[in-house]
Amino acid sequence: MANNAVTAKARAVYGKFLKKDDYISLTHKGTIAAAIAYLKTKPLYAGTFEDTAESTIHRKQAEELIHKNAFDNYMRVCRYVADGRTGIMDFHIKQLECEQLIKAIIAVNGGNQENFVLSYPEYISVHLDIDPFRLAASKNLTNVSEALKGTMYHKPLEPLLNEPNPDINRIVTMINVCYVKWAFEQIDKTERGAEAEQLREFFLRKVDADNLLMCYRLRSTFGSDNNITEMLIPYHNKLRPRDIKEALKAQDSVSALRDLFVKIRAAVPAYSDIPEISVNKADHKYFRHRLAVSDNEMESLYSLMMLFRTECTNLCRIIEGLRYGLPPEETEKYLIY
Amino acid sequence: MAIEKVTLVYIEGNLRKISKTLTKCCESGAFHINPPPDTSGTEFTAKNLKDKGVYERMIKRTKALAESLGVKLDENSSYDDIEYTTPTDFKKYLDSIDKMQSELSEEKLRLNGELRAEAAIYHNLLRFSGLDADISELLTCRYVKARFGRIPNGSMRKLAFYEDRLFSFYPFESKENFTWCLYLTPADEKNSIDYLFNSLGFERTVLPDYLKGNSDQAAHMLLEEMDGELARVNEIEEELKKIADKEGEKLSKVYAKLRMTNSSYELRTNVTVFDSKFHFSGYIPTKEKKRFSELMDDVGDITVSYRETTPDDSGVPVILKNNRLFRPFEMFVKMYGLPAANGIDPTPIVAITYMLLYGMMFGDVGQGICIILLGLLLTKFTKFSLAPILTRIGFSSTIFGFVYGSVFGNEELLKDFAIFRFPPIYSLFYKEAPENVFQASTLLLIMALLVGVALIIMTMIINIFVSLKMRDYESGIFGASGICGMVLYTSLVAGFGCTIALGINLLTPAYIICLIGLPILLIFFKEPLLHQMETHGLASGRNVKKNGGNIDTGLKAKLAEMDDRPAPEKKSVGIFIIEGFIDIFETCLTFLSNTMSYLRIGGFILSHAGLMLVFSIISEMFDGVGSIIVMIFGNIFVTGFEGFIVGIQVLRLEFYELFSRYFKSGGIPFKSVSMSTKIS
Repeated sequence: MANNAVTAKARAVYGKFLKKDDYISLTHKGTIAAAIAYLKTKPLYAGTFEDTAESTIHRKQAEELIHKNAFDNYMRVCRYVADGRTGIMDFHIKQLECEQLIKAIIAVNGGNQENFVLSYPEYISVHLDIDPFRLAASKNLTNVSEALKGTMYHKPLEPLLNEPNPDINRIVTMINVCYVKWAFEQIDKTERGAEAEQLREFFLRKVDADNLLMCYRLRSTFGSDNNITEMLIPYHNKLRPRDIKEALKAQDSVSALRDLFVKIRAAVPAYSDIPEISVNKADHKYFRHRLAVSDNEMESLYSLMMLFRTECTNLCRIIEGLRYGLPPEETEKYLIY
Repeated sequence: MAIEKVTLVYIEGNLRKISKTLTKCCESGAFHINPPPDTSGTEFTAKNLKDKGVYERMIKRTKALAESLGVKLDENSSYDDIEYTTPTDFKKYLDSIDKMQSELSEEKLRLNGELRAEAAIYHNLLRFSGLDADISELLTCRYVKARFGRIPNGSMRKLAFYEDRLFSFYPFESKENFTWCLYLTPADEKNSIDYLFNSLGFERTVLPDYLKGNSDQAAHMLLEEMDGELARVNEIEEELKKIADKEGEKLSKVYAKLRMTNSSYELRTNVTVFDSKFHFSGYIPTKEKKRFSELMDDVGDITVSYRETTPDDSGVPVILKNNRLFRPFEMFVKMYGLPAANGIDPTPIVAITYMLLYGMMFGDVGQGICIILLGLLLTKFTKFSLAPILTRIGFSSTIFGFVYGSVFGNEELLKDFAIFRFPPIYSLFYKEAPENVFQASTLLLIMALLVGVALIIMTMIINIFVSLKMRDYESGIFGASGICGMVLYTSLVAGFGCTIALGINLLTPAYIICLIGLPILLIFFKEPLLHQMETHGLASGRNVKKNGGNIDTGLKAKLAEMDDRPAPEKKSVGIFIIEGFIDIFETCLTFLSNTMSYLRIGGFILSHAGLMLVFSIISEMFDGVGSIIVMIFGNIFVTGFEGFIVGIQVLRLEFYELFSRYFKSGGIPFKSVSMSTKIS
């Protein structure tokens, strides 16, 4: 459904995003304080860092402010969404919820709840169905299962969380399945025709990329052999399960998997040797285009969300690079623009 | 068409007199200095005086002193009673002032710094209002570490998760996104607890350990201390004010004298030293000769020679001289470029044609009067250079408003005055008098073309006059705007005009051969003809003024003049014929396009009437006040929007259609040296 207010607002917000030259300038700043001082001069970040003393700011604090800024700006655009369609607009919040849930389960499983609480973005609490502090207070995964009662995750995750030896990978996959299912339900409720198809494709593109990256990472880094296909999210766009299975069976399975990246993102090889960066660069280009041409509010919102995620990732990489004194060229390799 | 006469002045004298001479030149306010002659590559070993900038530092120092004393310097102060002449004199005086104020100023600066720091601490202390413990004791505890600061409100909930850790947390004021707080932790645990709080976004506020008592007592103590310091600052300011009262006027005079001396010092870069004497030249307006001569007599022991400039002189600066009516239009001429010194000042032509064309294109009695009033108001209250022009074009607009019978777009009130309703005029085209402008559109467009033709012929005549005056025979005789061009253009217009409009066939063979063919042939063969004229001494060459007449007498007159004119280019017959044809074709095309360009005059008359008609129709849709408001808005819109566009269009006609035919730019502006003059 066309809603010019949302698309116009989303494009206006994107107009304030940092440009390539800004990223290059930031990588050359030398210190986090100098980078924050630079961000203070940019319209999208001036308000967020206004009260912050750049000389004393902590790296984690800077990263949290960057994420909070993206979230606040996204929510500001959401205000223009027409009544009756606000369910689907939560796909960003739901995605954040899934990410926090995964982090909480990993933290509880590893007995590392304190770090989870420290890094948890408190500003999203009011929007979530789960209670992260209750999750963090859990002694084990059975407690987590109880803490999830009343949410959409409880039923599918309960058997997995209550297993004597819970498999974290399968739990993560199940959470991702829950997310895609929820998104499709929302799309069915409010969207029709080509617009619904386009939105579904957005989610399935992500599923393709997540599945392939997981397989590639497990095979190339850990040499994993068994059960990889069991961990795949059972949806696909261009990447059929059969393609993955065949690639995994190939003699040089890592190369075969790399070739599949071309199948899901046509321009991937042109960007980088690192598949994650290549996929993200291709996605960045794709969503930038969709934001520019689409007049559908949900498409614009989704594209804006993805572009915000890229911007946050870039800034966090730059800050990390500055914190650990990496050469600017090294940081620039990982930036997406 | 006046360009003010200027006189060349050549000054030489003993080097001791250089400063005084230059200062007097500055004081005259009417001396344009020449750059020094280039003596390189000649037998003369003249040298230029360098600007050492000794006074610039002193000017800066004076400004700094004035700022610290709060004295407002006036660069126009009269400094006749200031006897300092050398840098040492000025330095001694400035040192004495510096000695009086430096200690006080430094103390004031220090106290202000302390006050700012204390104000920040006081501001922070207010955040911890209600703290019932001695801050100094808290900060100096040996086994417990205290940290004051603020924490994001979002992290407050997270703190509950760490309640088993060894720290005590005390929240104070909570505002916007942060809560000001204090936490205490055992010294042994401080690293891990500090890390935890840092991770939670805690920002530490450093409080000095000299603060005694609880937060309220410490704030009170700080306020008392600040009051004391503030009182001392006030005392210092009083003392500085006394010094300022005593020395301010003199300091301002010294500053004015320093600036004048520095300016004359800067002018030294234009002075040449030869045979232990200084030499420099420049120009003064001839009418200022007597006053300038008296000023130079005051210096004594220098030789000043005067010579009236001639048309052959080059490098002569230009001062435009016009009466009050035309003077505002000098701005347009200067925008295009100053006329050459031996040319003519086109300001009167611009003024007359601009007012005429503007009035024709935007003729309305009511709107014209509004433009006059706006112009008068802006002239009175601002220095907006377009304001006087507005008054004049408003007047013209009003006159033409009567001609068209238009008052605020209403064409009924003065209907009988409208020119297109006069029988001798409309009867040429129509059987009955047209009811409105639109019915007379053909007549208006033809009249616009006639105005264009008249202006083009007028500019051609001016060009012939100027070119012959400057002995530029190529432009004056053979050019598209020269005698040949004018004969060709006039013959074409008259021939075709009479045949088409009046049915009189002028285009007889004799007419075509003599008045069209002959000028074309002359334009075609202009280069060989000019060459023949040069050979027989009838002309001294093209662009004769380019290198002519070096007017610097004295030293420069001694320098050999080099003739760097390029030798005439040799062309093949083919190239000559092609160039000739292109030249003729371009000339005819330019005649056509230039003439058609004037159709815009008629176009704007119609568009003005059309725009006002639109607002008139809209106003009829409303009753009473609504109708009046629409007409007021319509008139404001049309006056602002169309008036502005017409202004630009007329300027375009001036620059492209008129100036391009007769205007020879390249004049040097007359800049009298003064205190603010920067000589490169």
